[in-house]
Amino acid sequence: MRWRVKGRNFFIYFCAVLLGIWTLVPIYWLFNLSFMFNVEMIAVPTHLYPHDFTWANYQRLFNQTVIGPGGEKLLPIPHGEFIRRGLVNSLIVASIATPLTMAIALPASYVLGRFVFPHRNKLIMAILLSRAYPPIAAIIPFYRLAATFDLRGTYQGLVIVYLSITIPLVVWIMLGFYNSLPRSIESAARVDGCTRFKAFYRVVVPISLPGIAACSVIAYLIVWNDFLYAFLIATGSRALTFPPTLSNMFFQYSYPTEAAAAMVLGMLPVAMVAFIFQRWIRQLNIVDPL
Amino acid sequence: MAQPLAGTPREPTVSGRRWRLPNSSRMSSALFAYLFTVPLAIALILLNVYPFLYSFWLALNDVDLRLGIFEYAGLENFRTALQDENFRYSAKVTLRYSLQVTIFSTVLSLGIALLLNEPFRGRSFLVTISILPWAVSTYAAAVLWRFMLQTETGLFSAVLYRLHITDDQPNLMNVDTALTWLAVAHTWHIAPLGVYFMLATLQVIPKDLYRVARIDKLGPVGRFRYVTFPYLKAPLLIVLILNTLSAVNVFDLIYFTTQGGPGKATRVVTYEIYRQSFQNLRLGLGAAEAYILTVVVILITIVYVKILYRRENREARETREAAA
Repeated sequence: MRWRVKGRNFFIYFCAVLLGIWTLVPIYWLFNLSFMFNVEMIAVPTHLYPHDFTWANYQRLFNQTVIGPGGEKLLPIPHGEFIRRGLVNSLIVASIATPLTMAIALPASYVLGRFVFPHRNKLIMAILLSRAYPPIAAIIPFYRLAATFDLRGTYQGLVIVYLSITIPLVVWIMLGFYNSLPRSIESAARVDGCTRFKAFYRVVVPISLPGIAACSVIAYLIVWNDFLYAFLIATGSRALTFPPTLSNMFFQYSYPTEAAAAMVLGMLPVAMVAFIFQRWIRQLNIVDPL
Repeated sequence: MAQPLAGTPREPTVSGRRWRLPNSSRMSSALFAYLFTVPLAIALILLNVYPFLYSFWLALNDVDLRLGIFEYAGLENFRTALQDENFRYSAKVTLRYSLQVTIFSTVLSLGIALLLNEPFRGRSFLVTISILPWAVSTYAAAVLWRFMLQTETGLFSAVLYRLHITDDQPNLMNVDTALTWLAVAHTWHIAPLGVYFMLATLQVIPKDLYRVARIDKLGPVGRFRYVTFPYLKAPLLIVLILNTLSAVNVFDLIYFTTQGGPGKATRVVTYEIYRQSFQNLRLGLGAAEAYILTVVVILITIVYVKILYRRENREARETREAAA
């Protein structure tokens, strides 16, 4: 019996270590490359950790000249300007799209989750179907429409397109959230003399703040992380968000070390947001997001 | 609103204001509900329904942006798409890719969930970090794995060379292996979501059931088969749906790693649609191909949902919902 327990423990810790490696190594490798000079990167075999640790790639992305390992001058990365603007653009677009999403999705998900009315199921079905619509199929009409209405390369165009993905998802999640709240909440408010509308914004909204926060984060992350839509609608414009900017840098001009540093810059803000709000997101009932 | 009875005193008007906001307590609950869903309905029609119909219209036309052509062509685009060698080939690639991703990621999610359900030291740390691959976006996951797999700066090729298994840093992404490596990268990215879903279910299985199973002398396999699995059916199906859809719709991952290459080895349907629409600028044909993809995706969803809502699974589903 004793050896069996030991065997079980050994097996579990072995798997746990494997899981840790599997999860962290790809992320470690990105950081590893981003802290190397270009000269070190071309070594064969590739170094498994930076032997000559440096912040040079980050500094050069922020328009600074750095002295290299051989005493030579390393000029700023020309694409750094676009990367920085891409980060700002992502911030702007996500900050506009998120409150708009919530303003439209919140009241709707409240009544869909708590009221019974004609055509309710049809509306829910429509939301479900728009979630199953492949992004590559949706982008073709958007591309053509953006061209027709002269919205290519504008913040407005991007925000409109993003609403089409964030709204159905947020409605779907919040619907489940409101459905699971106890029924007595508004009736108590109504007895106290609130109108239906007042009961919504004085009682229901404050109660659902954790859900609202989590959904805002999810909408924010979706917008921040989207590549395809921004790539096709805003390429070559001043409104280009971070992901397509990175892809330009990646494919047109850059050393892997520099691209890795840029990638870290794009990942940190979302990783931090996701990490801070993780607890609220985990509490949400996203079991049925489809 | 009911007519005021004769003789009822008129409501005092508020300081000369003629028009007031309609009182939401006097309207029927259905009217109130409609008022609250109007913005959503408008948004859905403008942002989802209209583009959906518009892309059908595009698919019915011969659209070539380079030549400035926009002519009605009936079902010609659909016929071209279904007969096109490239499209058929990419459909096969997508099928192979989706099968790999779905199997890898579902099995891995299940394994990780079962592991994280066991008590051991460092468990909560692992639960926290195991969400990381999902928290980075798809294109970021693609970049990470490109850095791991490419010849010059790849971790794997460096390790192989250091261990003297190969004479040089080898190229791992060749015609035969590229698709599988991408499926592995995709699995790395989406498996955590499935882990979280299944873990939530695993933690509500009554411990007594395991005790009873022990008394009945069931081994680990038997306990999994007769105790754990019945609870896991529903979340497993949902994870299957999500993984399949995510694999069929893959684009960022392909674009950032192989761009359909080497050769045509990883040219999945979505990439083929992208190529036709935005490189060859044949929006009509692209839209038709995208429509075919949409129909397939919706059919897959319906099949899965049908299975999920079959009577014998309903009970498991209800347990899960009660737990959530």
